[in-house]
Amino acid sequence: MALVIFTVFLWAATMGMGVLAHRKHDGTFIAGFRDAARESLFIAPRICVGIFGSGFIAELLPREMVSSLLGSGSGSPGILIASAVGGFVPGGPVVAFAIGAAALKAGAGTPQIMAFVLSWLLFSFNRTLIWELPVMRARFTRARILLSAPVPVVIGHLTWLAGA
Amino acid sequence: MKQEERDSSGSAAGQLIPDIGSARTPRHPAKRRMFDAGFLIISAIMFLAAGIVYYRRGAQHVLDILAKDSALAIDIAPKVLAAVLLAAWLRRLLPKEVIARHFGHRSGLRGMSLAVVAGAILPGGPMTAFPLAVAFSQGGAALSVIVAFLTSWLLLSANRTIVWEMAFIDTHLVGWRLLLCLPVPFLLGLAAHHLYRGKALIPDGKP
Repeated sequence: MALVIFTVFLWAATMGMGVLAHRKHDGTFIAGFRDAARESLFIAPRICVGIFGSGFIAELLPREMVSSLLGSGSGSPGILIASAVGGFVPGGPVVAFAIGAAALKAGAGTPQIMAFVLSWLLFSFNRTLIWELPVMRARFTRARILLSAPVPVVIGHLTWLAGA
Repeated sequence: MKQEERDSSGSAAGQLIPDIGSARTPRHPAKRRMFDAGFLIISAIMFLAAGIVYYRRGAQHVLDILAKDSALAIDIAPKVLAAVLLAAWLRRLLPKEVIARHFGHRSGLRGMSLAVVAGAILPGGPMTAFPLAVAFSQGGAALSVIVAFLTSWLLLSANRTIVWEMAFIDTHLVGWRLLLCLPVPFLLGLAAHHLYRGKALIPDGKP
């Protein structure tokens, strides 16, 4: 139900934005369509490969190992492991989320995957090296990473407490 | 900075959906190839994994997985489409320069709230977000606002969540993640304000 409301809301927002773009009468409406088409062509194959890839990889992951390392029963050590490895996932969101999805299917617990995803979002070394360091420089990057360091572990534990 | 201007003008090559910067490097911001090395690698891994499943469990099992995951892909397609369209129009209606103009001298809770909203709806990847943070700083925005903005973009980005995360992770879990992450940009902004008071963390000249 929440998902239906969300989808309706999302499409309403999109259509509202489309109306605003159309009202400008300067080609924004059509240009937006063209941008979106190009972006979709880029995204679609990646999502498909990621979804199918995570489905197959989940089949191949050793279930006992996944659930003992990262399962719901792994508790705090599992959350700590997940928090530590997330930032080191190479590549973009397809890789990170596909790994998360595959691990979930193979028996990883939700608090552990929450910590993993957050660690990737906050500390992805690809992004930090290629984008953040050159633009924000070392002092800010270091400060941001230090401040964010507890987040995956804390939220992983909150997820555990919430029983999500 | 010239490259950034080109990006924000909504040019052909601009990235609409934040993907944390796997696709391009700052040196070649205009190039984003449809089939780059990363895509070829993940495709190769997918085919390899499919091959091993076929070898171990047989063709039927491969087909079962394909059928189940196709349903998922079809399920998320309309949401992805909406999010991509939304980002495309939003970026053309609300250029980076306009956002940057609204952030001069912002500070405090009000400033952080604005920053969190901006981070969550900002279309575009790291080639947009980080230079925008520098622009905020040069416009006089407080450190707390900049930390809140970047943290919000990293954790709450609506487009990244809809396009990438919801395609893979159960929506129930995504909902919990967003709920639990909502206070984080504010908390980190406050922490930055208290821990790094009076320290110049961000370059104020040319990058």
